[in-house]
Amino acid sequence: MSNTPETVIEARGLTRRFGSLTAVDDLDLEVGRGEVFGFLGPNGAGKSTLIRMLVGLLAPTEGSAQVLGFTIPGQAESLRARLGYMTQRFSLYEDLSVEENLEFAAEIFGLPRRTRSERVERSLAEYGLHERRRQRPATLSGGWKQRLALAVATIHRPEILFLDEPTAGVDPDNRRRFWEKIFELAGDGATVLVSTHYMDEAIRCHRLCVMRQGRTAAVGAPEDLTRKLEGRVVQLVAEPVDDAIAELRTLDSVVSVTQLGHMVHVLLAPDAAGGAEAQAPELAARLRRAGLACTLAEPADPNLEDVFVALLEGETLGASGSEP
Amino acid sequence: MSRTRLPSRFLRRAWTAYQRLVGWLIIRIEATKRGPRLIAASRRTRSVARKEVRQLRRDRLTMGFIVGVPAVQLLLFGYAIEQDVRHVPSALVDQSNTAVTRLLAGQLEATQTFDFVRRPADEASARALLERGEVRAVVVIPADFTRAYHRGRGAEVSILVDATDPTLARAVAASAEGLAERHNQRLERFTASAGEGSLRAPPRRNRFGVQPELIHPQFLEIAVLDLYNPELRTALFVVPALLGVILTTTMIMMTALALVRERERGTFEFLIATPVGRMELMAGKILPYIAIGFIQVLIVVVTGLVLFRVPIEGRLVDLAVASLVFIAANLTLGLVISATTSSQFQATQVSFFFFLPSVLLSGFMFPFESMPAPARWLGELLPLTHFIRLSRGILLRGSSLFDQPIELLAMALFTAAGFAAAARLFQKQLG
Repeated sequence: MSNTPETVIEARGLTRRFGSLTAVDDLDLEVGRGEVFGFLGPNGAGKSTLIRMLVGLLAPTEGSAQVLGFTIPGQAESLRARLGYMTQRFSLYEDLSVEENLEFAAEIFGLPRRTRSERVERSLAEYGLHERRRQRPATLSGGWKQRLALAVATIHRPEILFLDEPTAGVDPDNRRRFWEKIFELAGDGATVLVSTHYMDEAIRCHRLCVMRQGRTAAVGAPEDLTRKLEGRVVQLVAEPVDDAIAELRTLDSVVSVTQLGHMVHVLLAPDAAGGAEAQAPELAARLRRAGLACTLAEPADPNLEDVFVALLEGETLGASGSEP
Repeated sequence: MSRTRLPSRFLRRAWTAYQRLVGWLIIRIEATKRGPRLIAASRRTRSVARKEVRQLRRDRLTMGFIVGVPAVQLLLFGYAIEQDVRHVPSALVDQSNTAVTRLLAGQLEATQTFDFVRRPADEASARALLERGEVRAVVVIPADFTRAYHRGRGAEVSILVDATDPTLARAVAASAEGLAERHNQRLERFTASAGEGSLRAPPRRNRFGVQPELIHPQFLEIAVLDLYNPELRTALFVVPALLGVILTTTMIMMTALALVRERERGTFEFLIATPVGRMELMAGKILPYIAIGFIQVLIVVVTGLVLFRVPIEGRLVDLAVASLVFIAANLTLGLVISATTSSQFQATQVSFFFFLPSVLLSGFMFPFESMPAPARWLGELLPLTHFIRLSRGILLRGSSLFDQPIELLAMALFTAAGFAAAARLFQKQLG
C-alpha cells in the first residue's frame, strides 16, 4: 500500500498532554484513502487519545493534523458528517431501542427524510439487527452491542471511519464477522482507522502503526514489519520446557522466549552473532550443556508478536525496507 | 355522532392548515441565504429534543418527580404547614358581664380562633394561667366596657397573648382586629348619620360609635391588616411563591443532570462526534423542560385554586410570560451547572448549593423586607426573588407584567447572562 492514491489524514508533531502525562508525543502520521489502518499498542500507549484528536474531540497540545483537508480541531465541525466514530466504551442510549438509536443517528447526521427510514432499514438488515430492533441495548450481548455501534457509526456512510478497540471483549466468531464488515466498508471506498491489541486483527490491516508511550514505534504493512525481523527467530523443542525457557531467558543474545504449544519460540537480539542460522545450533548446545533434552532447533519465520515485543524492548527496527 | 365529529374535523383542518403554514415557512426560509443551515440546525435541535422526551417518558422516577414534586410540596406547605391558627386555648376575664359582653365573647369564639377554656375572676389569675401555659391568650373585658360602649367612647378590650410564638400572636391579633372591624362596620350601617368622631382613632374605622381600640392587643406589635389577604391565610401567600420554588428545584436539577447524564453514561462522546452544534444541543436539551415547567405551573395554579382557593386576579397570559422567562432563567443556570460538573452527583450538589439561598433569601421563607441589607442584595441576584414578586402580584393583586417591569427585566438579564456563560463553558470537546 505504498502507492497511496490520496492522503486523507496527515498529522505532524501531534502531541497531547494531560498535566504531566504525555499521552501522545510528537507523532507523525499519514493515511491514504481506502486504507484499513491499524493502531497497535499496549493499554496507555495513546491510541484512544490519538483517535480522539483526529476526530476533533480533543485539542492537540502541540502539532497539527489535517483530515480530508480540514484542520483539526478548528474545522472539525465542518467534517462531522463525513466522519464516523465508534467509541471504545459503548456510547449509545441504553434507554432507546436499537431502531430508535439508529433513527436518532440518522436524524442528527442530517439524512434527508426520504432516505432516512430506508437507510435505517438497510442498516438493520445489513447488521442482522432486524429481530432485535425493538430491544434496548442494555439487553444485548457484547457482540451485538458492537454491531449496533458500528451500524450507527456508519449510518451516514462516512468517508473515514474511526474504530477505537471495536472488538474488545467480543468472541472470535463475532470478531471475525466484524472484520469482514470492516473490509466491506473499505471495499466501498471508506478509510478505516482501527485500534486494537489483538495481533490477529492487527495483521489484517493494510498498514499498521505500532505505538509505544505515545510515540510511533514503527509504521508499515504487517508483512514489511515482520520481514525486518527475518533471521532473528529460532524455534526449539526441548524437555522439560519450563527449565529450557528459564535457561534461555538468562542469555544476552535472547530478547524474548514464548511457548507456543510444544514449541519454544525465541527472538534473538539484533546483535546476536550470525543470526538465526548460527544461533540455532548454539542454543541447542547450550540447553544440552544444561542437562536438558533438545530435539529440534531451527530458524523460523517471525510473527507480529515478535515485532511487538522487539518494539516494546526499545528497538527501532531500522529505517530499511518499505516506509511509504 | 356528528357532535363528536365536528371538533375532530375542525382539529384535523387546523392541523393541515398548520402543517401547510410550516411547510410554506420552511420553503421561504430555505430560499434565503442562511436558510438551509438554519433549517438543518432546527431539525437537529428537534431530534435532540425528541430523543430527550423519549428518554424522559421511559424514566418513571423522573416523570413521577415532575408531577409529584409540585403536588407534594403544595400539600405540605399548603396544609401541613398551614399557619392559620385556630382553637387557641384562652381565658376570658369578663369584669363587666352584661348582655353586650356576653355577645362579644360569643362572637370572639365564633371566629374559631379562641376557645375559652377558663373563665377566671380577675386579670391576675388569668396571667398566672398564661404563665403556666394552660392558656395561650387572655381576653380581658374591663368593668366599664358596657358603659363606654353605649356612650360610643372607645370601649376597650385587652388581649394578652403568649407571643413566644409570633405566628400565633399575629393570628390572634388579626382575628380580633377583624372582628372589631366587622363589628364597627355593622354599627356604621345602623347609625348612618350619627358621626361624632373620636380624636384618637385612625380614619379607617373611626367615624362611629364603637371605637377602633375596642380590641387592644398587648404583648405584641399590632399586626398590620393585609389588604389582599384579610384573613391572613398563609396558603394565599405561600402558593404563588411555592410556584417559583417548585420550578427552581425541578428545572435547575433536571437540566443540570440532562447534560451531565450524557457525560456520565458515555453517550456524550457519541453526541459530540455528530454534526449537532453546541447551541442546538443546548436548545434541544432545554426545550422539553420548558414544556415540563409549564405542566408544573398548571398543576400548581389549578391545585392552588381548587384546594386553597388561591385566586387568579391577574391575567393568565402575564403569568405564562413571567413563568416562561423564569423557567428559562433556571434552565440556563442548570446548563451552566451541567457544563461545569462531571458527574450527576456533583451536579446535584451544586444544584442544592443554589437551592438553599434561593429558598431562604427570595422572600419565600422570610419577608424580604425584614432581612438585613446584604441578604437582600444577595436575594436580588436570585431569579426566584423576582418571580415571587411577579407571581404574588399577578395572582393576588391582579397586577400586570408592566406594573413590575424591573422584575421581568431582572430575570431576562439573568437568563441572558446564564446562556452566555453556558455557551462559553460548554464545549464539544472531551477533557
